[in-house]
Amino acid sequence: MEINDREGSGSRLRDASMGRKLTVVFISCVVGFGILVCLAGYWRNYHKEQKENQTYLLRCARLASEIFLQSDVEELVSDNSRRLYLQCKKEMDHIQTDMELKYVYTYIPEEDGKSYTLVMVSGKIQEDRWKQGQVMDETVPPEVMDVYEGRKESCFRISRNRYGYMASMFCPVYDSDGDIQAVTGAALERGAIVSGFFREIAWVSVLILAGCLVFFFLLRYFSFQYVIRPVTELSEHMEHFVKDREEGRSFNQIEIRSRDEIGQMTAVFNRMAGDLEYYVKKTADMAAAAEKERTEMEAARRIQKASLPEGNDPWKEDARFRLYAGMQPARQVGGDFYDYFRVSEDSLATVIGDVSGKGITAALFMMRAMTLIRGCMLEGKELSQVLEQVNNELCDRNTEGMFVTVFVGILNLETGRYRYAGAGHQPPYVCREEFEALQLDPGLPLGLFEEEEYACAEADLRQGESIFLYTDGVTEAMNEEKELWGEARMKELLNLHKDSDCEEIARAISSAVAQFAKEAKQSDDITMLVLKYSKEFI
Amino acid sequence: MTITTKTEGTTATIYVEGWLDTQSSPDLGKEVEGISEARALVLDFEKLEYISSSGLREVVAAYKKMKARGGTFSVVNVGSEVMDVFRLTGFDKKLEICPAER
Repeated sequence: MEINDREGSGSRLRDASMGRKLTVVFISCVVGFGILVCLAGYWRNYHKEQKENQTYLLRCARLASEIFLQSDVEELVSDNSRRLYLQCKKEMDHIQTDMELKYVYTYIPEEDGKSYTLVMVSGKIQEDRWKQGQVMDETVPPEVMDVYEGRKESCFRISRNRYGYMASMFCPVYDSDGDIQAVTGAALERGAIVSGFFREIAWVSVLILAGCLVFFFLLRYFSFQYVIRPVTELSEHMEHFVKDREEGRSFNQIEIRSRDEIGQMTAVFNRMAGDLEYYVKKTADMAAAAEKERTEMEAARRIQKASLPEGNDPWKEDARFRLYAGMQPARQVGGDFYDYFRVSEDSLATVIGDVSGKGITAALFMMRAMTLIRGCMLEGKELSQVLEQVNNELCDRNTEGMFVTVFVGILNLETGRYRYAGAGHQPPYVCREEFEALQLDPGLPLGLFEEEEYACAEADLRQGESIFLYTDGVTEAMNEEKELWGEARMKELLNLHKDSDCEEIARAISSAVAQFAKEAKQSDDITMLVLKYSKEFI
Repeated sequence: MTITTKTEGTTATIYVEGWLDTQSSPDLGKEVEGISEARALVLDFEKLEYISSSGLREVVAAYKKMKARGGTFSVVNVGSEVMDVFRLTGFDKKLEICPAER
């Protein structure tokens, strides 16, 4: 209606037009109100009119009955007193015409009420049937009989019969002694009364309805002016706001034109839109920052991973050993590392370590530890010295209180002698008849206490024997019930695979761990290094 | 993890329950931070089920803090699983750590 559908996209919104709803409500109210007023007027006037008519008719009937006060009605019926009859008839005719009555008449009911004898009639009527002394075989209504027999002073009747639709009033006719000798009726044509009444009502109704319509249009005009239009405008602005957001335009504040609820709503919307814009921007910035951080983390992880040597048999041409190492990082940049390198032609160094904590700090600390260890070992120092020196270096400027558990070992490829030392790390498993934990002096993790001393030990590997280095990410892998995988399971599985090659062993362990953890998130890096010694690999 | 602290005279005892891992360890750090008066700090690990490397870090930090202040530090009532970790890392030789009595 009032709202033009300027944009197709908004049509759904505007279908729910408040204006239309209000119009319907207004019209219903106005029509209902009008009908109610008319009905009330009708009801009230109808009764008033009825009462007025009754009073009027009673006066007429009384007047007419008084005509016969000095006469004997019985005598009038007979022809004897013609002069008197004419005199009375003249008076009755006067009453009838002057009072604008339809009929005025007098009759004497029979005792049984089944017929009556006419005395006199005034009004337009077939004179031959209605004449003096005529006995009419028509039942006298009981209430008229009540009047005739003195039980009532008057009675009012509304009747519809062959004489027409009438409102009549009956009064007794007294003689000079005060006895009732007949009844007189005065009748008005009811149809005329009713139609006159309805004409009046109709006029009043039309006036009321017209008044209501004027009121309706005023109400509608003002409601549109001050409520619906501003609301529509506001909703259009809101729509634009949504659209602007989608298309990346900034929001223009809506002008506030009033201080009523709609004005307040507009102000609130302005504020909300501003806030929203601010938060959207902030969220976008944060997302960008998080993305940047994530990319940087990714890069850190790549760098970290790249710093570890390639996992699979780097020296295939050397038949004296086989080696496999791998790390499955947890979600974050972690602190596990492994390393292997040749110290000389005949000696191979193996390193595994785990830095406390996670994230960038752990990764940086790990890089530092790994570099220091490699450097010291390449210098050809004794392993206990390597750990002591690296420990002192790491303790120095260790503001975060980080530490690292480390296991280092050097295999003499000619003799099979494996010299090793540990700093708070899990003892590796060595396979002789069966896999078992290597005897290891624990030693404190590196980076905690300066001037610690570390002990060195050695073991001799024979043909085909292997060593399994790991971090606690393996044994402390958790399932959803927070159960740990544990060393017992690891040992059992290692023995099951003791004849497999290095990579197969590592893969068996890692898939068993994954199966155990199921849906549980990997909380720690899982790192393994498997070394098999033999002179017979080709 | 639940941490409760009781102070008797100059001795503060911190009771740690549940898991001391990467998420919960900083809470222990804060708790230790809050103890500034005590001359002796005791960590009661009777109800500790698991300790991660982050937890160990907090233990060492608490030890260093007390040592720097000239106070004493000990870990008591350590359950067998947590004790294994202390043994593995050599902490039991450096720090005063008492396993729970069986």
